Amino acid sequence: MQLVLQIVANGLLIGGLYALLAVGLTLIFGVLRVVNFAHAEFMMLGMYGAYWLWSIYGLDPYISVFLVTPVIFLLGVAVDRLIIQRSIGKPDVTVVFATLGLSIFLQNAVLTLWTADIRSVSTFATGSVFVVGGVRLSVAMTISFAAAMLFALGLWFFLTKTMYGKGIQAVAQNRRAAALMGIDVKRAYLITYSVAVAAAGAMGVLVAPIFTIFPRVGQTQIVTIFVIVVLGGLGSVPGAVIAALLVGIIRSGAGFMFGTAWGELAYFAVFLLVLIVRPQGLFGRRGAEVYGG
Amino acid sequence: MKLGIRRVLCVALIVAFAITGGHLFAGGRAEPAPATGEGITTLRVGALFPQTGGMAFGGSNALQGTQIAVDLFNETNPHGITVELVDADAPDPATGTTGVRQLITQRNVDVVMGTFSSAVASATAPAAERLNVLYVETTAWAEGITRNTSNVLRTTISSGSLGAAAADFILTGLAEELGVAEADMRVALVFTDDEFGTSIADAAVERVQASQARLVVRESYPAATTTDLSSVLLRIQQEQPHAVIHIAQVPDGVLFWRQAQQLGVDMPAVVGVGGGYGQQEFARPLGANSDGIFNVVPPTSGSINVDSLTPNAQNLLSELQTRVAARGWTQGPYTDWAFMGTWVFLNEIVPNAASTSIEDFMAAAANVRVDALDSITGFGFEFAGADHENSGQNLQAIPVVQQWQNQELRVTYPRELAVAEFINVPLPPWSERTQTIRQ
Repeated sequence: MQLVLQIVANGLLIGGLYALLAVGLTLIFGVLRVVNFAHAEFMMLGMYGAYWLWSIYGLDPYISVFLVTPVIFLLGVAVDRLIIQRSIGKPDVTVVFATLGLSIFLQNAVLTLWTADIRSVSTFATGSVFVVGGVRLSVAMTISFAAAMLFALGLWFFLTKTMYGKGIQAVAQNRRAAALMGIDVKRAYLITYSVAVAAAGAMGVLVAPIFTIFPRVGQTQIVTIFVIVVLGGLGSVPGAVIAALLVGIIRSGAGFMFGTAWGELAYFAVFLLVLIVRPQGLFGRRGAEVYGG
Repeated sequence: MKLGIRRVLCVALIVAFAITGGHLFAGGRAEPAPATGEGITTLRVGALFPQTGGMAFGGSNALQGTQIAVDLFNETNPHGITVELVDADAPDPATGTTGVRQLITQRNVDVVMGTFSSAVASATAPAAERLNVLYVETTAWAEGITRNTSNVLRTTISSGSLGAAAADFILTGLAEELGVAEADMRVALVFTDDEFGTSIADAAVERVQASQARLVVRESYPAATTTDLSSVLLRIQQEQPHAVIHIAQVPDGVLFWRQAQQLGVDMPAVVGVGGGYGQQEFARPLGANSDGIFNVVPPTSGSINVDSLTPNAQNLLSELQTRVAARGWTQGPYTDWAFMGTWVFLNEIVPNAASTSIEDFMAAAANVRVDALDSITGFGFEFAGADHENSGQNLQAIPVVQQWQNQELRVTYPRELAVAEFINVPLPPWSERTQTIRQ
């Protein structure tokens, strides 16, 4: 029984890491109708931010997260103004290649600036463990998990309980009608994109004590994150969180029972099955996957 | 303006002909320079390594080693041969294949050297073979690179020998140190599911299965996308092997150990293979927890007792170190292997080849005998002939077992090459190590 609990706990913790990225990605799609291929690169930038502040100033990532996240937010503002908003309304392929190009640009910019050296951050949380009922929980992963859940909860509260959040939801439902009602659509886009990439950057800082850091580190996550976003339902924040946790548990459980390679196969099998039965994903609206509107 | 398809095709053909100088239509490179009786006087060498992307660090190290060997050869130039180095980026197999074609058909290189990445080399060496050009592999280890090929000379180790050496060490030296009979040994094998990882794993499995030892875990995972190895670690915890062979790169190697610590998975011995366990980037984040972990690898100047090398080899090493430092580069294992492989090719094969044809290079390679003590890497050079299943493979490239001790690598096996005794065998359980556990 303890082994089963350990497997579930491992799955939930890794799922929490996926959730923080997936929530931002699904939000961008839901509101802007943009598939942000560069999303994981903002996580990578967050990791480098944590690394440099730790290696130069000795700043713990749990402190530097409050410095790095606003910087990534501002970077998101710049990217939104310079690239995203200019490509919205253009042919779908323009939007796809704009974010794909941004992804490749960011990877190679980091490679040029900081080389391909593999870097790592070690803090009090690295290797520290909580033991709850015989189940061992990594301190670093538990903190990241808690941050992901808090962010998702905060975002849900913002979107459903505040006027500005409701405005963003209105833009997500119909940008033209929202504009006619006096909602500043461009501002909604700006806030949405910047908040989402800032969350990815924050996740990068929080996982720096867990994973090694190199220019292509985002690519280790991005396929799984896209699967989660589609599985949860494009544009659905609760769907992204639940799908992330589900993928984490399936991967962990199937990986233990049948082998690590089968862990990947299992969650892709569930993903395909859900798409056959419910093409809009677990919590998605029918038609949400269509661009425009 | 409406252009007919025929007209567009004609223009495209003329442009392509002009760009490629006709090589595209001639079916490849010009014929090798015929033997003149004086041998080769000028040699254009194509250097194909990853210089961008995830493998750029190791690939650049290898390119730097190649560059220094060529510079040094041209400066000393005892045979009156001038070598021109032309480099191309090979971050992945597709780009590498394009690169090798451009090097041969447009930049007219006589030989291609590479490649750091086994996945890239597996595509680029056959591409060079189709264009009838010799491929000298100094840094990629996959077994298949020298299988069923006629144009490859590999100066470094093959992955098969790495896997076999890892298993052999576990069943002999390590079993003895642990006080367990070979027949009672329980071995776990965890490896990346690419060609490189599987070729090492296959050789290790073959060796284990030929013994009476038991393979209790055999798990592969995709290195490029793995963010969680907890399930394989729990399997290891359940099966309690005496030793684990882990074929890994740096990121998954570090992840494996961080998660092992988190889950409290005790392993009496772990033998890393595949490059990741042999780099400082692996040991640095683990700190003292890396002490006692083994690594199977071709030896380098950094891991052997260099005082035992001949004066010539010591001078060569000193020259390499000076030049690396002068350019602000970092001397890593791949710098050593690429440098020494290139140096042997230029000094022992090129002067004795009648022309730049594959056949003449291979004939010259057949006579190469370089002693291990004459080499800065600590392994010698002797190439397998055409009748060998791995023709062109350096048969003297034999791996050694290193161990992390005070976060430095020391050769500990075989005993005759060892510079240090074993430490931490078996590895201390996590409960006895310094870590924070809150109940």
